[in-house]
Parts: sequence; structure tokens; C-alpha cells
Amino acid sequence: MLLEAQELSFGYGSGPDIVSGVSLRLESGQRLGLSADSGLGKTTLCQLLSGHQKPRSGRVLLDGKPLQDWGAYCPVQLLWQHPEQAVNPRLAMKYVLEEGDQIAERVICGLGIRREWMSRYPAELSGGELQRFCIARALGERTRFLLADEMTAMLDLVTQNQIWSFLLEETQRRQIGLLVVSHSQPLLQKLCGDIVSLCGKPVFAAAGEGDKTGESTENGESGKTAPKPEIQK
Amino acid sequence: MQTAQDHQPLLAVEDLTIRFLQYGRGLRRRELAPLQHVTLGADRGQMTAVVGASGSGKSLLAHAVMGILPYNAQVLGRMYFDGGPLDAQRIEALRGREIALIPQGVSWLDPLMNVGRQLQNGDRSPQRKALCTKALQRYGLSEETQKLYPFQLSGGMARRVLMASAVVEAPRLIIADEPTPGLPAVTARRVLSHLRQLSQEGAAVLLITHDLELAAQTADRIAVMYEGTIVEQVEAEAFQTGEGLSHPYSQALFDAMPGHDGFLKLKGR
Ligand SMILES: Nc1ncnc2c1ncn2[C@@H]1O[C@H](COP(=O)(O)OP(=O)(O)OP(=O)(O)O)[C@@H](O)[C@H]1O
Ligand SMILES: [Mg+2]
Repeated sequence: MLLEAQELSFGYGSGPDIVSGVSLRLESGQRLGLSADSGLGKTTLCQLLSGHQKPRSGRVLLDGKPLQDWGAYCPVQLLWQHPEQAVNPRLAMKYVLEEGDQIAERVICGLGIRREWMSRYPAELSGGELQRFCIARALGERTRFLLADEMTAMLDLVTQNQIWSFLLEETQRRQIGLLVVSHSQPLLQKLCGDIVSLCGKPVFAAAGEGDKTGESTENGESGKTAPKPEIQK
Repeated sequence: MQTAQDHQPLLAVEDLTIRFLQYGRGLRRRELAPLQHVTLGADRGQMTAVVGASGSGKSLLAHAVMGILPYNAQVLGRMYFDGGPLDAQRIEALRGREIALIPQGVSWLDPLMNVGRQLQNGDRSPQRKALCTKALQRYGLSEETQKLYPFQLSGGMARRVLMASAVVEAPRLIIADEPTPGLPAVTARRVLSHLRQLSQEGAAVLLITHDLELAAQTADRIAVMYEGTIVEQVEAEAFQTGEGLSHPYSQALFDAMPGHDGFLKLKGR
């Protein structure tokens, strides 16, 4: 299968483009790294690729067919950087899991999810424990592409090893295409065959617009310039 | 900053155990003890990092000191601040003034209040306003920033607002819970040097982090947590050289640092 972004542009409200003219291709079984300075809209790009935001212009195609035509379960799943923002705080974890597709037992075990966590609520788990549930939920049977946005930044290094080991095995077994977004070059180099970087002038939040989930570099945050990020190989 | 009568650390946590009671189906009752017999001190002018496995109890430790554990938590053990016992009442009085938390998530900012109001915290006096302006300035945030609402802040700015709001009242103990994940290296380093500076000005800083590399470079001491206990406390240097680490988990952490043999040592590869 092929996930394709064609000339995507996006901005909030009437604000300037946060993502502008970005094209990208990801194939089944491929592992692509995405690095970018902060504030360049990596998080926004992931939201566009997984159908969580509608682009101002451009398209996201899965095997040539628009993403929204693929039915109720989106084969492109996004892992958010902050797990506490990605789960319903009022659902016990076993119901959080049921929000996704059928999930193999192998996935639950492989991620080190313990039985006793199932009856707990999100606030009763640590950040890293919660993230494992989010990863499991994103690995439903019909998932074909996985977008991991700074997925392990909140995990200790030993747990990171464990989770990535599992994830590489699982994506290989199922030929899932993987997009790894990270600030860490050593991590991308270890995990990915190809690395692309978003470049252009950084985007900064100003009144009424902004990459709310991303971060920005610390200099010149007063700038309101519309950036022109592009993918470079 | 150390004077003769200061030999007791500003914050002393002794034999702290946290239990949760969980009610299952019917009359079944289960007890969890995610934190067991933790003893830790935070000294004036010192930066102490707490690192450890996911789920090892780092956040719970911070929440215990801040007095913000959930209602079903049972706390055993002793805590002292500045020589006196730190009980619920005293925490209440000190929180936000002498003890400040820099929380992990930017979602702790109130979405309905602009930055200025959040920093004023109900006190509209000119003195308070001056303090707020000073705190914002310290982190390179202009007067203008006060008018912005959280959704108008970029992630990096929001984090600096959180830092600023923690230091408005010149706290003596600062607890930062994972202030850097997902930040680019330059920004992360800057956040830590801000914390370092606060400790050099005499505050006791407790830094909870997964970024061992940065902790090793910035902190004075590092406490390693595993399965609810502190398995060892070492000088920060130990995590630069790898010498003097005695617990297997600390060793594993050291090996897993970028550039070391065990970094992303993926099984079967
Ligand atoms: N309210 C609660 N009820 C029951 N168990 C809880 C509760 N809150 C936390 N725990 C458990 O206590 C343990 C320690 O949690 P804590 O959040 O302190 O971990 P942590 O060291 O901060 O981990 P991380 O690095 O993943 O954030 C975890 O196993 C968690 O599941
Ligand atoms: Mg935590």
C-alpha cells in the first residue's frame, strides 16, 4: 500500500500556513524518519496525514483513494505525543482499548501491559504506562500505517528499547508503514531507513493561530512569518 | 549558600510509602504500594535529578511533596521542610509560595485565563504585577505575553510561562516534573540551565527527568528509582563515566544512553 501526501497546506482559522506545500510518500513496510526543528508543524503534518485535520489545500491518498473514503476505521493511525490528551479520562483502560479495532493479545503482551491496569482509569497510570495503551489501541488489526509523533519521549531509555523492539517486529510482521517523528537524530538513525526533514522558517504562535502541540525554538518568537516548509530528501 | 545550621537538607523525605486501596468486584479489596520506603533529600543550592523506569513512582513522589495525591492514597513516612514537619496543612500554606511545581503537561495552564491573570493568581496589587513582569522577563517573555491565552502560546512559550509562574514568589524548593520531553536539544538545554541558575541562587531543585544525558551534565546528584524504591543515589558524574553505578538498573540505563552500546539495542537485530 501507499500513503501519499500531495501538496498539503494547513493553517488555523485565518492565520498563516503552518504547513505549506508538503508532499510525502510512505510505503507499506517502510520506516521513514521525520526530523524538523520545532515549530515547523510536524505534529500538524501528522494530524493531516491521519485525517485528524483537513488540509486547506492538497490531498492525502491511501492507495490512490482519499483517506476519508476508507470507512469508519482509519488505516492510518496516529500516536500522540501526550498520551494524557489522547484518552477519555472517564473510561477505564479496557474500554479505552475497545475504542480501537480488534487488538491481538500478542500486542498487549509485547507492550508489557499488565492485566491489573485494565480496570484502572487514565489518571491512575503513569505517563509511560498510559502511552503503552495508546500504542496498543493504534495497532488494531486494520492498521496499515502508523505515525509516531515523539512517541517515546516520555519513556526511560530501557523502556524505549523494549517498546521499539516490539514495534519494529510488529510492523515488519504486518508490513505496517511507520513514520517516526523525533528530535533525536541518534534515534532516527537507529530506527529508520530514510530520514527526511521539514525545513523552512519556523512557525511561531501569535494571536489566533499557532502550532499548539508543537514547540518552537526560543529565538524570535515574535515573528509571524508564514513558513514554507518542504520535504527534503 | 550552606550555613552552619543548614546541615539538614531543605526538603527531607524519610521512609515514604504510598498505598492505594482499590475496590474490585463485590467485597474484594486490593492494596497497591507503588512507592515504598523512599528516603531522599533536596539541598539548598543543589540540583537533584530523579530518574527511573516508567511507572517507578517519580510523579507520585513529586505529588506527595506537593500534597496533590488522589484522595484514596495513603501516605506513610515523614517529610520535613526547613527543619519542620511537612504535613497537609503546612504544604497548603507553602505551596505556590515557598514550594513550587513546574508540572509536566502544558495542560496545567487554565485555558480561560490569560497569562497575566494566571501569574497574578488572584492578587491584583501593583507589587504582584511587578513581580509577574519580572518573572516573565527572566524567561525572555515580553509584557505583551501577559495578554495571551494558553491556546495562543507555542509549546516552547507555554513551558516558559510555566517556569515563570513557578518563580514569581522566589520559591525555596522547585520541583520540575519532566520539563523537557519532546523539546529540541537546544531548548531542553536552556530549560535546564534556567533550573540550574535557580539552584545557584540558593533554591533546592528536584528535577524529574528521562533525559539522563542532560541530567548528568546539569544536576549535582542523581537518584535512580525502580519499582517504587530509590535503588541508588550517586554524584551526577557517575552517569558520565559509568563508574560507581552499583545497581543493575542504573547500569542498564547508562548502557542505553545514546552513543553507548545498549542504545536502542533492538532484540533480534
Ligand atoms: N491513583 C492511582 N491508583 C493506583 N495506582 C496508581 C495511581 N497513580 C499511579 N499509580 C501507579 O503507581 C506507579 C507509579 O506511578 P508514577 O506516575 O509515579 O510513575 P512515574 O515514575 O512518574 O512513571 P513515568 O515515567 O511513566 O511517568 C505506577 O505503576 C502507576 O500505575
Ligand atoms: Mg511521571
